[in-house]
Amino acid sequence: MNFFVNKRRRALAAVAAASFAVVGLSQVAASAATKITLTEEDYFNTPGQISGLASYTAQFEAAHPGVTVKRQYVPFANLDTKLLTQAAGNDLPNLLAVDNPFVSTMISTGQVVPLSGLKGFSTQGYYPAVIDEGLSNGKYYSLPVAGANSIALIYNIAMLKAAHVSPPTTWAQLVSAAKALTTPQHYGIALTCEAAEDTTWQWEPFFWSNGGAFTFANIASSPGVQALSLWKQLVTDGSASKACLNWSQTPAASSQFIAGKAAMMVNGPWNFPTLNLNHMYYGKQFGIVPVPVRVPGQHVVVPLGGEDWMISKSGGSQAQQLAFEYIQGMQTPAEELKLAKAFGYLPGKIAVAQTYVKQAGPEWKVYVDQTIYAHPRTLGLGVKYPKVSQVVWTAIQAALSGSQSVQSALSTAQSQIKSILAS
Amino acid sequence: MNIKAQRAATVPVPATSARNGAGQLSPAGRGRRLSAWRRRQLAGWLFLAPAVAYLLFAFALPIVYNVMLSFEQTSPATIAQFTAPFAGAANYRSVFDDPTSRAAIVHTFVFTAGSLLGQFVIGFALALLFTLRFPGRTLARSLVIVPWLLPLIVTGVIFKFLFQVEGGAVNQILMDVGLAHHPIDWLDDPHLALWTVLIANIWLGVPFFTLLLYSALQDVPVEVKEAALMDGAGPWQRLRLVIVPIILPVIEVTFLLGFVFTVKVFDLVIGLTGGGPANATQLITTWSYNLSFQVFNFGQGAALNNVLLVLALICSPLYLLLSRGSLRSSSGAAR
Amino acid sequence: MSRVQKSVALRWLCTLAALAALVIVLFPVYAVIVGSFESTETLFSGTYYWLPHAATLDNYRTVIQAQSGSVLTSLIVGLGTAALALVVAVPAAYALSKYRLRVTVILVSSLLICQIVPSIVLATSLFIVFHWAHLVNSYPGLIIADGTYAVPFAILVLRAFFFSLPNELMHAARVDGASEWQTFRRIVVPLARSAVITVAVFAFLNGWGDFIFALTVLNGSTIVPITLGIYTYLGNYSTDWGAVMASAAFAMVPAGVMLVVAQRYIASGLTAGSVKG
Repeated sequence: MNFFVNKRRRALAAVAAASFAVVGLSQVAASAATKITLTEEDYFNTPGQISGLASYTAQFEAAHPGVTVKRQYVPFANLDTKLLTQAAGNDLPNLLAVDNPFVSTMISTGQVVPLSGLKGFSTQGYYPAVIDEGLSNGKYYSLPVAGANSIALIYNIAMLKAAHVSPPTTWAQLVSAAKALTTPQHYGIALTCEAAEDTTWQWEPFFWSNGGAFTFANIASSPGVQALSLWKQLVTDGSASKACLNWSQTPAASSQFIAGKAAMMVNGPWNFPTLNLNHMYYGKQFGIVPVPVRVPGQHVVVPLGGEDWMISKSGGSQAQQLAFEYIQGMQTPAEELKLAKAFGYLPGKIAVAQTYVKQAGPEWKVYVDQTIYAHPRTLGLGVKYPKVSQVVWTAIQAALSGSQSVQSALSTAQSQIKSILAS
Repeated sequence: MNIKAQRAATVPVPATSARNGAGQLSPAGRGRRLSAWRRRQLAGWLFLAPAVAYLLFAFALPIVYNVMLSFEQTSPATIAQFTAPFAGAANYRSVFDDPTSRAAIVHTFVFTAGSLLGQFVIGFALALLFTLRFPGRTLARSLVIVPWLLPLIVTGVIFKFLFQVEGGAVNQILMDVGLAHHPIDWLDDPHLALWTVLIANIWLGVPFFTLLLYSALQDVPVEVKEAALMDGAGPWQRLRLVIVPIILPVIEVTFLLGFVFTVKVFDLVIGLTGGGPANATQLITTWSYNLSFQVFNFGQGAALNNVLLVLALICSPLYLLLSRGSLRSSSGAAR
Repeated sequence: MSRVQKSVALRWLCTLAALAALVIVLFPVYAVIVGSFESTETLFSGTYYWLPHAATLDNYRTVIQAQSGSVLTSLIVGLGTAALALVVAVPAAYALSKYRLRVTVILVSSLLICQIVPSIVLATSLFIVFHWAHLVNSYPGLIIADGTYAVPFAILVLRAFFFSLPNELMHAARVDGASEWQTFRRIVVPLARSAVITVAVFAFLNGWGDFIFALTVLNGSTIVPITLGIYTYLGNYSTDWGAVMASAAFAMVPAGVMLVVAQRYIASGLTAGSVKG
């Protein structure tokens, strides 16, 4: 894989260099004749992400002679740990691409600089959720890497047809559809309930759309009880496998869907390449609808995913300004469209996202449409989000595994969340 | 004691050759008899120096740092500074107040004791089997250590595959053989998950126990076994009254090493269950990792780690070493 | 049945028992090898296949291209860790067993503590120390870190071994005028050969299989051991378990060769050390 990527990377670099020789002259002048290396860390590992980033970097380097951007891949499960360790050693890379729930934590280390203080920063045109992720004390610390992403209900068209059900839009429909779609060969839906953040993330649209507080402070009252009872019912009905307690969103749950072992899943657009690779195409083999709501008329509030660029204090102001130029260059509409496509994300700006649906295809429509109501997970919770999220996924696991009832699992969670919020 | 006798009997051979070898060395330093003791102390210290330097650098610094952390009120905001506000015993208090931490301590006890017991029983049985003569025993013995070649993260995932409710190899076999009538929730049932993790860890540790115990059994003198046979001892009696006492020192060392490997098991659980479902497989190590690096409470994570160290020291088979006198430098030291 | 027949039957029964045990012991390894020929989708499809279901060489194609250099890196790290463990542990174990030193009790007990400290605890602080000592992202740094698995273990095992060497040996050498170093170098070390090899193999496997330190201490793409290489395939948006299996299977080869070569020393070295009176 990497072999081909390298080859492609070189080809792209050549093309980029050629194009920038014409376009990028003005920028060259800005930072001429300095030899500087920017270090960058991220966890991107799909072929599209790797090559998308590489070709952008090649463009950037071509437009900034003397500047090299050195990329360091860190496995997803370990990037947070690694960055904190580096922060402890005052040794962060210049550029860091962090998962958005971790942005607040990075800000609080005091080792990253506010971008709103840098020349050329603007929040204009972004979806509120996309730009607010990096907001702390009135300063903005981050910009999206390649836009953002979220989740929706993906269904197997043939299976729904065979069971004579239409795509569910309400919880009642979801329950009956999942039941009807369950056969000895497959389950109605593949849930994700492993002991990790993706479980909370999967549950958030159910809870938040149903009036749940973004801080989870009211998790034990009806919005939470109803949302968790829904999942519990899917499992007790036998419409969802109990094995979901050890399933990640990707690839565990998504593989169930691809292998035809589940008729539906709640998942994101990053699955498109793998789906296509397995001969599943939008409109033919699979369809997408928003995550169902309890009663018609409720807005679907999805959590917003994706990664954000941050700039560390390491290196002087020149390095910081250059790093910012690197980030800024990605925010032009043309680059946004290109990168969103390569990454399997949605553009972070509203107008660009509208163009994107027309260009990239109708499978993006649901995701783009719901972004306006999306919520950045850390907004309002900041560094407390990881703690709260852990309490939430533990409660979900307790209820679904049967070690506690839905109500008592949520009551335990609520009292823990109260004390986290009070601390 | 028999071992000692046997070893003593073999001593003259290497001793003679050694003497010959030493005879070729120059007789320097012979005149300084008086300072021999001091010289030997100095030599001992010089032999120790690299290790002491290494231990100070690689262990003492991190441990001290960790103890400091455990008394500090830490957060991501304090991470870049060398110290954080003093917190007294607050981290320790919250660790003991937290039901998950307490459960993790209990799980660690069960997990460690169960692992050691299972590894010993199975390892010893296999070791005994390998002492018998049968076709293919050499091959079988060498294949036992193959599992060590797998990285732990892969081991965790493989067990996750094998123990899946549907389509897991374990359930498939059990149901084909008729030992189970419906799939067992190995990893999804909170009451069962810890046992499943335990089974995986026993699997991981059995080769080590087998290997050590097997070699110890090899060292049991044939005459001893024959004498016991003459006295009309049955196989069980021979094992209990003759063989086990002889290899007891090895059993102790094996337990000690098995213990230190087991109390810090981490990757396996992360790969297998991530501590779930609902914290049912949370061990001290995984929970402290979680406190430090998932919710970024480094002080509490450090405190829980120190609890592990103290508990491990109290419960470790350390006393075995102490009571056996091998900690005393005198037992084998030169004059 | 005659007595001979009976004993033959008994032997084959033992073979059968050993076979059963081996099936259990080796099954996960077998599952990795089968898995290395499957796609991630098949692996997670919820059906277990005893033989490759839709066999593909894609995983190996991916992995051999990308990970060959990492295997070499891991070999260097493994050998370096073994060398470090020996240089530090052999003399120390000798001193702790054959010299009457005041610190022996303290040192031996602290070695036990050292072995219990989880690596993740060491890793964070080591990074800070290494950063200050300019050891981040270097082979020496990684080897020093990986030594934390091997050194305490090596000292304890070797020390137990040295107890089994009769004191008369050293005494005789001294009478003949050998210096302390000569006694150690020419008499003790050669006699301890099998224990030394055992410890070296364990240290090698530790350096070879380490992930946590490779992750914390390394900081660039210049040094990438195979364990980090395996993690390339574990991501948030795509996890290629087929490639993970293939890397694991691929990485088993050199370590397996090493283990086979040293196999006969491992057991003898460990126990010779453990049996002491």
